[in-house]
Amino acid sequence: MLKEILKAIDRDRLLSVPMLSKELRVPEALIDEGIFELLRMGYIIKEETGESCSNVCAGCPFAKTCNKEIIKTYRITEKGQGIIRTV
Amino acid sequence: MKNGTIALVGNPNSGKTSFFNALTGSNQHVGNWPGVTVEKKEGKFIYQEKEYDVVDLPGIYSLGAFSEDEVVARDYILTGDPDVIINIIDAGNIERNLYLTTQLLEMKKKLVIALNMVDEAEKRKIKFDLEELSKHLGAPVIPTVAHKGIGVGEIMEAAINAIGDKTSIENPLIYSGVVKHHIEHMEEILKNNNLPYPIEWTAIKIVEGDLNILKKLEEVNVDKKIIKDIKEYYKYHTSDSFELEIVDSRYAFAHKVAEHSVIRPLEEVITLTDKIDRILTNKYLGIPAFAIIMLVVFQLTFAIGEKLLGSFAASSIEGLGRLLEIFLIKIKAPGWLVSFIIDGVINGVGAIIEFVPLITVLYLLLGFLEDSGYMARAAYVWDDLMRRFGLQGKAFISMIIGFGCNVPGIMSTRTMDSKKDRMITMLITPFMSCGAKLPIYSVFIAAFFSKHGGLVLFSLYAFGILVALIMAKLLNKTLFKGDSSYFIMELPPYRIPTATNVIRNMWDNVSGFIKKAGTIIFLVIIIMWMLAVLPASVEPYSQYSILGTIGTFLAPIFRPAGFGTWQESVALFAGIPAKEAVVGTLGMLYAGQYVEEGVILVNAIRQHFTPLTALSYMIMVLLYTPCAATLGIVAKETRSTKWPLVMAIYTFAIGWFVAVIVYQIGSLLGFS
Ligand SMILES: Nc1nc2c(ncn2[C@@H]2O[C@H](COP(=O)(O)OP(=O)(O)OP(=O)(O)O)[C@@H](O)[C@H]2O)c(=O)[nH]1
Ligand SMILES: [Mg+2]
Repeated sequence: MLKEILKAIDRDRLLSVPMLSKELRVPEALIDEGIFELLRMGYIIKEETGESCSNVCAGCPFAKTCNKEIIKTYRITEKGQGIIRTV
Repeated sequence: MKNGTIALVGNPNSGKTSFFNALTGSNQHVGNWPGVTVEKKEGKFIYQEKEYDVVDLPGIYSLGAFSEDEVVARDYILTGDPDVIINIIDAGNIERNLYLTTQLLEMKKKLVIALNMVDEAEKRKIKFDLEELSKHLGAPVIPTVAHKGIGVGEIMEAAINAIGDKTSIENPLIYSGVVKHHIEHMEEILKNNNLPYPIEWTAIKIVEGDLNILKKLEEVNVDKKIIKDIKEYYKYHTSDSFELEIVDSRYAFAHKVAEHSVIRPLEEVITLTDKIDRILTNKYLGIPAFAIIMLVVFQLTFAIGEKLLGSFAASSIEGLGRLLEIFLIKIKAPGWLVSFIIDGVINGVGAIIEFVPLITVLYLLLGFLEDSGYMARAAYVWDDLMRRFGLQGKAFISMIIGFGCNVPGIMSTRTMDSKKDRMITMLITPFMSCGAKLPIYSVFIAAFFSKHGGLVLFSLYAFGILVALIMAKLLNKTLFKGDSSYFIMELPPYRIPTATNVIRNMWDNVSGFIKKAGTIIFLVIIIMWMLAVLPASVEPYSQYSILGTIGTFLAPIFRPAGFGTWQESVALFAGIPAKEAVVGTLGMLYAGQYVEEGVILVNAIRQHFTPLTALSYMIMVLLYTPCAATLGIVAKETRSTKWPLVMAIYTFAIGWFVAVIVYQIGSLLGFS
């Protein structure tokens, strides 16, 4: 299952829990859990966008507005790529 | 005497503490686990005149070694030797909770399952086949509502029965052939040793690659040879995916159990989201849909923020200015002070503050879009288009952020690991029209295009994106070559935006805008004002002032673009420290002369511009040199002075060039 999740997000370059749930016929809660595990084991990592802004320019009047994440992005690590290659 | 110890194990927030309190009443004390600051709760429970110890373990999702809580919990379960474990499961989130249960089964511990929060699950129409659940898990399953004490008695009865039960427990997990072979091999290595943990479990953990176990084995001084063997084993199997496979076996088991024993209602909302998503993320419809949504946002911004509230704000500030002026003259304030306050502060900074309603409305609407989950869809459809221009979709994320402010937009390129993508994205982000340019467009739109305000604003933003894409393509072909790296974007489920999120987002932006007007812009305006009234020997605000002299020198550069007065030229340069200062400077230099009627600055603009020159000026503002903060962050990110300089010059050149083309072609076509 975890391999399938990894493969699907690599193929679509998209991580959508409802879509994965439908494709793999697994409840969304379990997909959530799977992604959580993949992250924990370091097969995928979450990238931080904008997060550092509020530290770098704390004096900026807009510092509060730019540390929020509009969009979450991930990357498949070397370790994850290795798994994809084997399946 | 000790009759037995019962441990409460479960995910965070599954109701362990409620359960613990229901059981122990006041018979409890709280301390820390030895060596760490994780809370340790112990209590006593009396059943049929016998006393039992109850331990509340920290909430955990897994029994790995990822957090101190997990290590505490698993050490206690394995070495503290509780007689029975009550596994508390949140019934509403059963799949995830079963993952932990699976690991408890792997440890071959006596379990009693408390299916907690069944009241909540019932509300959500989730049903359970308790018998099936119990059969799969090989343990009694009892529904409970812990904070009300429902089912707690039955659980304790089952737990105490389990203590007396002597049947041995099997690990129900099925590992793949290879993994199983490795586990057996490891058991062989570990055999006949004094291990701190059960041998089979230790073997599983070692094959899984849990380094914490190796550390533990070293600590308890097992045979040196074993440690060496394990290290040797790791050397040869680092690239294997045993970890993933073992986790997957647990996962598959949890799935199987849930599949057989949980009945969830079909969710209809999802099909609706699906339908919406099919349009919004469609290859062909996605971009037009995005354009329509943004057009609606801008139209609404103009209709509400400018027409409805904007003129109100403007006349309030101007009214305040008039009162102040009367007051200052009455108290016989010196002429320079009156000039400073009225021309500098009111006409200059005040001209910017007038846009608070507009900004408020715009950020309310954008916050609404963001919070709904739409922005991720927008980035997704852009990803495709971006690739054709030799960029990755992540560039669009930087660009979206750049619409708010270019600085974080440029900073967000840090997550790009391809240098090429990063440089190109940095160089095109300034074409994204940031929030600070909004007041400039608004003044010109109010003066000439107020009927189609939203459309003009939309076109400017769209034109900025177009220029960015063309530049990306050019840079990609010439300066930077190479492959684009790729990434995965999360499409979060849609949700109804919450008022708090939307309002907080709006407030952060509006308060930032006001703060900026009161600090940086204020400073720029003061400097501009001083330059405009000095030297004292000449007429203030005239072309003979210092500012006038500079402006007169610069003005010929812009004449081909149609706007060649010295005031308009210096205003552009005043915009480099902070873009809003363009409006402030025009306000200070022009508005003073037209005090008679209504919205002062807008009238002044009507006197000095034509629709065509207004358009070329707006295009210049859209494309020309970004603000100092943006150039600064480029210097910092590229660790060079070359790139910010390149950026400052090339954007200026493009802005000038396009403005000239627009003006010249417009003139040829007979527009004025
Ligand atoms: N509706 C409902 N709420 C419950 C039930 N059991 C507990 N709660 C509530 O769920 C919340 C969390 O309960 P806790 O007992 O603190 O959970 P916990 O497992 O100790 O949480 P951590 O210590 O943070 O891991 C509290 O607000 C409880 O009142 C239940 O059966 N039904
Ligand atoms: Mg608790």
